[in-house]
Amino acid sequence: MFNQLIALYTEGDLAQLSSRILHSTAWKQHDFTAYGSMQINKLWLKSLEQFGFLQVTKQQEIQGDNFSALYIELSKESTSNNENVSITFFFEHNNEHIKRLHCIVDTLALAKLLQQEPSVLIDALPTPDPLLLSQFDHQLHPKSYHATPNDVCDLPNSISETVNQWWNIWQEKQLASFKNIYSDSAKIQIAGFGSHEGFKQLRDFQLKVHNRMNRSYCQLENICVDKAESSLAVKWHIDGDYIDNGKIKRIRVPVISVLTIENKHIVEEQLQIDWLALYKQYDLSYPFV
Amino acid sequence: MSIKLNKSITQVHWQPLTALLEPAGAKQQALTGFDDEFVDIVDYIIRITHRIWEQKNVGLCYRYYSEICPVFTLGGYSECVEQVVQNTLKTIAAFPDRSLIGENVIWKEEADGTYYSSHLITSIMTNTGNSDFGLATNKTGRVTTIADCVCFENKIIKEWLVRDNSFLISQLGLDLIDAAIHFSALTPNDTFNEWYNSEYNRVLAAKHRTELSFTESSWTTESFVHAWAQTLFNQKQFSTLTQFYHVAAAHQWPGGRQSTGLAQISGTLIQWLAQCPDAKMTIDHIGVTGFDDDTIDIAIRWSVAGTFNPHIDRLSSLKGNRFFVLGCTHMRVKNQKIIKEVTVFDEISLYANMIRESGHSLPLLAQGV
Repeated sequence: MFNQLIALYTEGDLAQLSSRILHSTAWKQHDFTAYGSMQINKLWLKSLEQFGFLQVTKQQEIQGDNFSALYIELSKESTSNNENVSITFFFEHNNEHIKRLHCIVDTLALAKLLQQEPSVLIDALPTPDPLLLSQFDHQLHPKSYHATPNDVCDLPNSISETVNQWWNIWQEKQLASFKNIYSDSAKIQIAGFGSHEGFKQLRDFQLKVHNRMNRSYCQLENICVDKAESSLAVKWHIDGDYIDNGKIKRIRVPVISVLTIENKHIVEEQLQIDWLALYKQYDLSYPFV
Repeated sequence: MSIKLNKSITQVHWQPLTALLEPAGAKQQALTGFDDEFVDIVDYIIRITHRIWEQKNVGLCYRYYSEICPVFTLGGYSECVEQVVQNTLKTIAAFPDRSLIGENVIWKEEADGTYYSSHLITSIMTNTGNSDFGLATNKTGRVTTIADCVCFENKIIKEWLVRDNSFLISQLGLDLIDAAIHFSALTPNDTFNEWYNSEYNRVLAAKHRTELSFTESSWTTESFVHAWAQTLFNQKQFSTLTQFYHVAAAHQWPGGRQSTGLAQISGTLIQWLAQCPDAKMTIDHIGVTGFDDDTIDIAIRWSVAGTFNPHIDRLSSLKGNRFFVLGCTHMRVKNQKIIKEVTVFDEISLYANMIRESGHSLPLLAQGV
């Protein structure tokens, strides 16, 4: 399935990927969910029109039993600069068909690659699904229950402690864990903010995201671990009150993180967010952080 | 888990449409009086739905619905196959490309020889014709429907139909309260009014203080579902969510309410119930089928009744009105905890019924509020 997903963006091979799609497959991209072959095909064609036919410059596969993930970076063949766009796929499958797929595109990088203003690309994105976010108590009370990675999947012992500490950074804002679990030379890609060595930019980003919102709350959705047990993809989101020109907007930021762990240290991480879809969904002012 | 997976009965989840429309296996259920071509009740529901809606053979309703077939919705009541045909045709005319994607069929063989099916459907449809929502918008929307049917001898003899209309209209660019005002102008028939009144009184009389619980060893689908309704909806004990939901459960409620995990689910239920703080819930039907070796699917039809306490300014004049909901829920349960829930009811009809009953004339958004 990984090859078929890649062949869509590099060759426009709709037929191969279509053979993996059911009548009831849901494909979520730019926070819009396409159902059935007609809507999904239209979404693919729109992507190809926007992206052009690109070449893969980096890929990482997370092969799980029922859920898998794929991270790819794509760039133009003819380009002389280093601009690229990354896409992360997280999908439920039975090795034959894809049932549900969530695809997050780094649309800020895409705008740069296409040399377009973000506002132009925002207009071209599909209208996101209606989302009605209920108010809730975001506090981590001593007797309340909040999902941790071990609740969501059986993590191998070799990575369990690292992944739980990684989640504490986001859920409990435990910034001291950065030092414990990241390799000094970790390669970190943050959607819209490029790649960095070491965790400092990621730590700054984490602080900015949480400080930009009041009552922020991180919720795990799903985790898939590669059979080699050294890499995993985490599907999660942040809810919070975003203050935009004096107006409070309750928002949800969907995220997929892909982590590679060696000797209990994170050596590589891709944090994927579709920023322009977020601006479109909540009519936010640019930039977010 | 009290239910074993019956692997011989059609399961929709991973099936390509071609396999669903041409089942290769032998007949798996008695299906007395049904056409020989149907191998089980799931096959019957999937194929007749496809033929009527996607192949547009509206007249097949005469073959697959009984002459007298009560169809209950929160927006109205119809009683005979002629009305089913007419309503189907009107919907197809307003949404000509409507697809009905069968997501799941949870079924039960009843003691009286009938089959009960609960069909979870996702529809994609473009509103190119005028409809009860108003003038054509030419926009495409998605909507979740649950159709609960009693089937007997090749025909549907009774149906409860719920559709997430508030989610649909927000994609069509329509305002929820405006749509409810338009709907309130439709006059339901006497049978609907009788049903609405009797159901409201029945549900309101529910004994909500009785404690219902279960233990891990005594867990049954029925005890779980009744405790879910009593503890959360009737007694509003939200810290007990952990007894019912997995900590990362996915929860879909009408109008685009998407929650994951206990904190968000708790928020959704509290916000929704706050508009009817004295709400009583009754469980009106339970069906359960196996999904895989350690997971089951439960279909629940339920009702909620109480007194309206509006949190939308435009509905403030309806305070104290009768609040009544016909709803359906599909839940996937693993290790005695809900991992996924889809709940469907029609919020437009909920508000429309209260507007009509109040006799108040509410202004549309364009008329200024």
